[in-house]
Amino acid sequence: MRKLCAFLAAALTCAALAGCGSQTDLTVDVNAMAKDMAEKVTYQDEIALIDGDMAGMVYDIPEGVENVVIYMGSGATAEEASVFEAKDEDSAKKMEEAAKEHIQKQRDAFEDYIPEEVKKLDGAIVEQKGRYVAVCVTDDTENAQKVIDEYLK
Amino acid sequence: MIESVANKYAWKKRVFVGLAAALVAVSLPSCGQEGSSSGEQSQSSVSISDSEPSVSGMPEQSANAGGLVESSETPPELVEAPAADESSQMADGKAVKEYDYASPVPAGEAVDDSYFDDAVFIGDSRTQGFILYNNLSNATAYVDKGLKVDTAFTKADIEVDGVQMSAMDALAQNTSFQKVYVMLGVNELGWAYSDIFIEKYGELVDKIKEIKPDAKIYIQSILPVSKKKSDGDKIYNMTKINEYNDLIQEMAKEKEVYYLNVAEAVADSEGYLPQEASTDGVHLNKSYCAKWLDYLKCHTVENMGQ
Repeated sequence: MRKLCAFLAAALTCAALAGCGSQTDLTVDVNAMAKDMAEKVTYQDEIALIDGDMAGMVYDIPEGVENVVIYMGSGATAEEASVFEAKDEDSAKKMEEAAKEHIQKQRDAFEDYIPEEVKKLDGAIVEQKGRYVAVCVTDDTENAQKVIDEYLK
Repeated sequence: MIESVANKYAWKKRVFVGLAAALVAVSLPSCGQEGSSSGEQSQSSVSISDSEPSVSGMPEQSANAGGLVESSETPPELVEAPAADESSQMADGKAVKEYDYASPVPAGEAVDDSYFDDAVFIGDSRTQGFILYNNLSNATAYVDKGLKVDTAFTKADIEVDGVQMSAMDALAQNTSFQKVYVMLGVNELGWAYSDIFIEKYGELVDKIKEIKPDAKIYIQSILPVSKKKSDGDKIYNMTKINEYNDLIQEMAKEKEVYYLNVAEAVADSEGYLPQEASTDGVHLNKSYCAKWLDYLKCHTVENMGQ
């Protein structure tokens, strides 16, 4: 009995530790992830890939972010699907803050311009895991979350 | 004896006089040329001769004359305008064509993306999409959703080095631009008075000229909307857009700035934005933004008519 309890305790400990270690080990193909977010989620607008050089026009990218993949709408909507890869988790957390600021700026801009988009922006997905940040603005949040979970969980 | 000595030096005297006369004869024509080149220089800076500019021969002649004549200035940058309906005669009878600001910039040889290195784009959400989708990171964009001819002066929605300011304030701080592309008007289609719109647009053009007198100013027509949008909207329709574009073209003529009929880059045979170009009938998708850029590349002042 005592041996059985010890074995169970050890097994539980191993399971908990495995969960803690997975974030820093996560590696994601950001291009594939962003592409899936763009193609497997429903949007009202045509969202198209913009060049990484243009990211600064849309986001205030903090230091430490090494890879940026952004699909943006035409201006008819606030819809987008974006994935960011940072050099470490601290930088990723800064990118997460930058993403939230971007969503707020978009909200301020669309509130006077196309007020119907505010609801989408209020429901925007901004998720950070390990070195990665995903952003998705769409009405189809259920599918968007599924795609993000496939890559980040 | 004395007579023979005199005869001996007489021939030398005749030779000397002859040489002096020859030297004088050679030097006189280059001075005359200086007079005629000054006449050419007095022509308008937007005009050029139909013929090969004779001024190109000046440096050689000035060299022969010992550098006494200054080289004339190089011919103006603009080439002849195919839509010219005015001409004037130079003193030597050669016809000179002047740029016709009443007409849109005609097509010519395409430039590449580097042409926009020193360009500023001022516009609304459509121009915002144009810049993003065409990856024009080399150009400067003072753009914002809903930008209008009045808020371009008043709304602090352009960020420059971390500071928010209006589009015109941002332009005033920019010392390096050489050309400006403006597209405004779609957000003003609902204004009660179109004359107020065009008056304010004129003020914007005047301000650009004040900031940079030698900049090339391209005023773009308002892009069309789709038939579906036009038929179903009291404001965003082709009747209003065409009315505004007529006013814009007239304003460009009066201000002597370049009018670009960019609408023809994207419109279908009936003048509408094709359904495939946009999800909302107003904002262009990436493919049609590329058509818009191609149009700008093929309609530049430097290459028009080439």
